[in-house]
Amino acid sequence: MKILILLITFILNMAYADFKFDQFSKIQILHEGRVKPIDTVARLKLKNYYGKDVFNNTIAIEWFAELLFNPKSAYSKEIFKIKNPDIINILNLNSSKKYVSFIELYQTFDKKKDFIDNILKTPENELDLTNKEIKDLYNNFLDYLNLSRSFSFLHQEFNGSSVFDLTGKKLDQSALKYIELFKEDSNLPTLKFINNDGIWFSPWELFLKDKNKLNTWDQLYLSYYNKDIMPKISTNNKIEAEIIFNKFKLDNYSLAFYLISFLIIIAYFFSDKNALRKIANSSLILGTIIHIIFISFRSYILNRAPVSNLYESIVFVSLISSIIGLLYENKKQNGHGTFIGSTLGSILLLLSFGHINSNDSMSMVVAVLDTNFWLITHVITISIGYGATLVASMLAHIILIKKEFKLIKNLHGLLIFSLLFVIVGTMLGGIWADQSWGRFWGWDPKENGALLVSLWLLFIVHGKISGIFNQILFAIASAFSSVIVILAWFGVNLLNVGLHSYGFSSGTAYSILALSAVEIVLLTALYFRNKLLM
Amino acid sequence: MINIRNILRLIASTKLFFYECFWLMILLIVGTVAQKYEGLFETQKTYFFSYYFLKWHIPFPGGGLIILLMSIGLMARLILDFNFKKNKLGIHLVHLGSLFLLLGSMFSHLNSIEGSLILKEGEQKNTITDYKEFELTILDDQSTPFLSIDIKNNEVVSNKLGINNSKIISNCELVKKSSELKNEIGFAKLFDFKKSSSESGITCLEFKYNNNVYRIFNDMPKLQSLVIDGKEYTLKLQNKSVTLPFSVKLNDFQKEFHPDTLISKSFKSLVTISDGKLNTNYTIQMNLPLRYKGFTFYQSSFSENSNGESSELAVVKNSGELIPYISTIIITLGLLIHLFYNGFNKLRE
Repeated sequence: MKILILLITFILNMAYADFKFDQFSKIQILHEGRVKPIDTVARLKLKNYYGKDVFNNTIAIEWFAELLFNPKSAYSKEIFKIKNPDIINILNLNSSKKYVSFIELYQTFDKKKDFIDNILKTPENELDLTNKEIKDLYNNFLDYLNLSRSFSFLHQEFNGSSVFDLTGKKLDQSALKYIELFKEDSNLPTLKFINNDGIWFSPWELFLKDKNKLNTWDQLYLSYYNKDIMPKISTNNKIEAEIIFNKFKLDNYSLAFYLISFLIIIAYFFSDKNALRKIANSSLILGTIIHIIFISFRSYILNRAPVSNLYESIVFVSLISSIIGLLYENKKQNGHGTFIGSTLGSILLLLSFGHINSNDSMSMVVAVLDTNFWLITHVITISIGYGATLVASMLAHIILIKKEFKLIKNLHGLLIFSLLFVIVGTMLGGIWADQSWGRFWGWDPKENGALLVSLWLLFIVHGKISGIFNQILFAIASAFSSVIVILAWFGVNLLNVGLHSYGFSSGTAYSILALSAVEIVLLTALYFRNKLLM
Repeated sequence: MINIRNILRLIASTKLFFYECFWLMILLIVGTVAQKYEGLFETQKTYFFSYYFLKWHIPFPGGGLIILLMSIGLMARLILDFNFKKNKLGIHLVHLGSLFLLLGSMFSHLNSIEGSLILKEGEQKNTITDYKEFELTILDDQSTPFLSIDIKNNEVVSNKLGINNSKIISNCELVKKSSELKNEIGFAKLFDFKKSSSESGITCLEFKYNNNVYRIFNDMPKLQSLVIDGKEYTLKLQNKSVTLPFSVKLNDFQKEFHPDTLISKSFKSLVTISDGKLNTNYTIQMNLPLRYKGFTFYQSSFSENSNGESSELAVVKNSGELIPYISTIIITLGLLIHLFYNGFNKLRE
């Protein structure tokens, strides 16, 4: 797999090598615990301020280079997104614009100094939503200011000379005053850009220590200023891979193919042309392959199995649902598998986009979650289990809606498959807990959630074999499994209790309630409709 | 005439298991939501470990009872039907593994010791503090322990002093009294104890000694005194101390964060275990615990103050530790066999 990734990286690099900021993108930065290409940081920062990683046809890295090397020009660009119209009134901003420039914010925050001071002194949980957004805006503003001054020693603002050029020379009073003014910037917190033999420095830190080590940056600045070709930057495979990963947002392509597959398979159900089924299935296969490549890239770049946080689990379960859908379609060849795979693949992948924390989808994880055999096997097994359960739930819906009860045996088989992975996954979770914390089972919400899904599946299967559930009830209970999985997977995070808590989100709470309500109403209707027809 | 076969059939019935599953799911949901309000340990005791609990004055079956019934049911089922036919072998293995797991969990619940060991750098201790169990300690005027009495099943065990009529309440609330009784001593004159509806962090003990009523709670700012044979002692309610057959010294605590962040990368405790004449050095870190003479030490947490760093280790002694591992293997095997001989057949149709 690693060879495949490197091959893809190499090919795409060749195809797109002719690009102006190519070398600049490869500079390595230490940001939030991880060494990454400056390209990633540029996109992240732009997304934080502006909401997208492209600004008026300028790509992130170009925008970032301007911020570092020519801040005067950058300051007037309208880059800061005002999310909430109330903020415009509170801060007396120019009300016709959704985006404001740094200069405008500078003037505004200067006038509202006391108000901002009070917001900063108030603890986070006592701020109302609008004030919280103002605080975020102010923090972004400060972050932007700090970045813009990171390389101020290079800016040629004194008779065409910069602090970099003047240092070490004999100077007159005005030149010395100019240098003193800029020294303030050395105290601003900013990124650790430069690695000097294993230790990371911010640009000013290194400038004050030994300015000769910054010659590459001086060259970069001059080539930027003169619009020349940038000097070659040393790099490695992981950096190259990450730049390609950033550029070709593979998850978007995968989603596109899943959605195309979904639309075509719906068309197949109305027209019955087998060619449509085959095209839909091919689209699903293509989407799945891209999805696998996407996850593999992440795994290679981050050097860990891609199952360490909620976002990654959603991406993974999405892939599993798609694969199981494809396998089922391969057996039955009736369009159901393709439909289930494309539906679940699309919905879950879309859902994943909303679960990226602070625009950084590749953050470091805390010690206890880091590279552990039992963690990886537990999460992979239970994710397969949840994916399979969701597939079974969808099949049950199809059986009930189309009244095709001859498929009940398939449903039962699929549930046995899900049962295996969910129960073994739950137990592996216990083993991981025993290895890491000393107790196999702590009855905490996430553990209880997994147990709930296990019990629900046992409940359905034993209901069928004991005769309590007739075929209709069996299908209804199987269909309801989707709600149980969502409750176990997302619902437990809302409780904010125990070792596994991630915090409450009202969006998640309402979505879970909405899904449960829809399913209850739908399944009740399907129950009575099927009962009447039996 | 009592037909054993019929009784076994009743206990082993699949329908009974179906209803047990259903009730267990209800307990899980109710108990998990209650954790947010009443705290993890309290809800575990109420909903998951108990044989029954009262709600609106009606008794409901608790998790402990359901697990017991499931175990008996699994035993009965295995006695009735065990055979080696391919299409049933998988199920029998799953049932066997599950039975083993449930029995093992009951064993661990009754026998395991779980506690914490907090050491400052350079400190050596040979006792750990139990997480859950409490004890009543009576100290003399030099603050040396004179007598420690265990508290089990919510009351003080029988002791030579004759302390009796005791009641321990976890998640307790102090209620200011409006009047006092003649036989109440000290703090008991001022406050009464009540069970709190939310997690209070206070555990209270009320008991009688020489017909006088005493009330104390953990971390009392001013300790309650007790007079025995004319001499004054002080009372302390604290988590039980368990003595180890060896001692542990923390030589150094090392913490590493991901560069330039506050996200933990690794926490390590470098310790020396002194056991008789033997002194051995070990490293305990996250995901890599130390196992020594049946005790397992896990890196749990740490704290820092002006005096230096302290490492907090979680300590567990559980002779049933291997049971879940064996059950997992048996259940996995059983489910795989069942999938291959039943599941895939159903999918092929």
